[in-house]
Amino acid sequence: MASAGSGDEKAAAAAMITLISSDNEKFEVTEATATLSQTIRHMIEDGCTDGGVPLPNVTSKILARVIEYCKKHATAAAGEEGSSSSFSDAAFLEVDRAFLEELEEFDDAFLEVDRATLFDLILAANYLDIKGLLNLTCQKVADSVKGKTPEQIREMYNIVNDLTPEEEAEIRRETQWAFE
Amino acid sequence: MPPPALTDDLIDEILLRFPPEEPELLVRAALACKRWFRLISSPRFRRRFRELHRAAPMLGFFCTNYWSSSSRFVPTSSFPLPHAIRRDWRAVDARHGRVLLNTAASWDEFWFGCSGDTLVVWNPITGGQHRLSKLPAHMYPRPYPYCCSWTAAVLCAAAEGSCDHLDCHRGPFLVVFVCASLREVFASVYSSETGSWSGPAPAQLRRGHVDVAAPNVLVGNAIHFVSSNNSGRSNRILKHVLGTQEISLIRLPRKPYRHIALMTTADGGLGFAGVHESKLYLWSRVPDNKGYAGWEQRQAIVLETIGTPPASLNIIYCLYGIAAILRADQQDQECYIVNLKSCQIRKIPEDRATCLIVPYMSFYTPALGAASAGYGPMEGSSNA
Repeated sequence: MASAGSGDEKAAAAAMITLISSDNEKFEVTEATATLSQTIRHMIEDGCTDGGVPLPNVTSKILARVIEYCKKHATAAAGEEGSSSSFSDAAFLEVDRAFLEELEEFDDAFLEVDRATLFDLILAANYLDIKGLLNLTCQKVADSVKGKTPEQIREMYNIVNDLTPEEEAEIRRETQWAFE
Repeated sequence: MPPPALTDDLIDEILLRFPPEEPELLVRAALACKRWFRLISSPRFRRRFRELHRAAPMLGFFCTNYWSSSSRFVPTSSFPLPHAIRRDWRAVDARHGRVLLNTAASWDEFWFGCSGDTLVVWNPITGGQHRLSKLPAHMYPRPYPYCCSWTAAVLCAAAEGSCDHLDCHRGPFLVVFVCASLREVFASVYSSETGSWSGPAPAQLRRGHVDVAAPNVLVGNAIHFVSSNNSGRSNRILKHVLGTQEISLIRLPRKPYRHIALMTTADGGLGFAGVHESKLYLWSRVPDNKGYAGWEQRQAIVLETIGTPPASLNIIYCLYGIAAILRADQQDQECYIVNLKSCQIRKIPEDRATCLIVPYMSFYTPALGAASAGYGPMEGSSNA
């Protein structure tokens, strides 16, 4: 599923990392892809990645998605580094813009998942310490609450309302403007 | 399938990303369950929310017309101020969560010859008010209050760099007051901590006028005001350095704008907008290649995109990159708004005409005070 990259990744091919999901599936990724995760970056720095990196908190289904995200964004990071020397080059900036738009489209499509998967991705992003992915997924959940009533929010996220009717009435009275 | 359980920290991560300009979303989420309520009402959450979003959102703006006895608040978010603006309250300036009001009853007392004790610093979120003391009599320039003009700015008292101004609206503040008469211009600073006026610090400027309706800007550690000549034409910028109270003058480029409106540019520098012959020009202050500061024209916007605007348009207010408000000089006093992104110009309905605009930016994270008092910190008792 996550095999060594195409020809232009030859240089990086030397440094491959094996990630092992909770259900024991192995994923080979480049170091550039893997180190988007601060957790894995630290493991590499400490030299404890021989024989693969076990990730007991992440299932193969979720790990595959996370790797898909990291691959795309690792390429973006590499592109940024490459372009910094010719920052003033207008043509280059144009290419950058096109690439950023593509990245945005990728992120939008990436987030088209059910709520359970989205929450699993948040947990994985947090565990693997991937800032960009955590931001993306948390923002998606935050955006989904827009325009929803407390009842709808509870329903969406399986929340049991444990506020007493008196407490709820008091908060509503204090913040009446938010419900008009 | 129910979503997997998230820790408090991860629920925080989600709630932190709610848009600050729509504070009602957080209130509604707080009603989901005790756990979410507890997380949203905690001071830690409020602090992190401000740190993440950095720039306080614009909740709306205060508009005042020449003859109207009080300002109107026009919300730009769904959030109405918890404490409404009162009759005889006219907003002069706002910064760092506070609004400077002039409570003078008559319009001429508002526009000319302010004596200090009609000024009130108001916190629309908490409702707190602080009335300033009267300016010491020896400070009034002669022949006060005739032929006098004034303007003032409010700001957090913490020196530049020592406060991020994200949550200082309950702390001490300063009011920088500038008064101009036929013979002299001076500035004085009121401190809420001492309850008294400093100064006065004279400006080396004769025959200057200042205008309470002309927006002032804080750039670095200096407040900048526009001064104009006897015929009302903007001709200089007064730079008042906080701390040293030194006043210096900044020249404007030789351009035929009758009025200019100061603004801060995208990088926080000093800029201004001016109108000439159906074009809106935006300028910013930049160092030239010899190290001196000069002006650079950044943008010229043609205002004839729909119909013909009146010939004598003046700038009232400009929010860099967002919008500019223009006003016709003639009797009908038509106002226009220019969208600086699309460059579209639109007429403002007549009953909304204004000549003084004070935008209000502030975070509003629900404190949920009384209702949250009984909870305190408690262990997660619900499932999210």
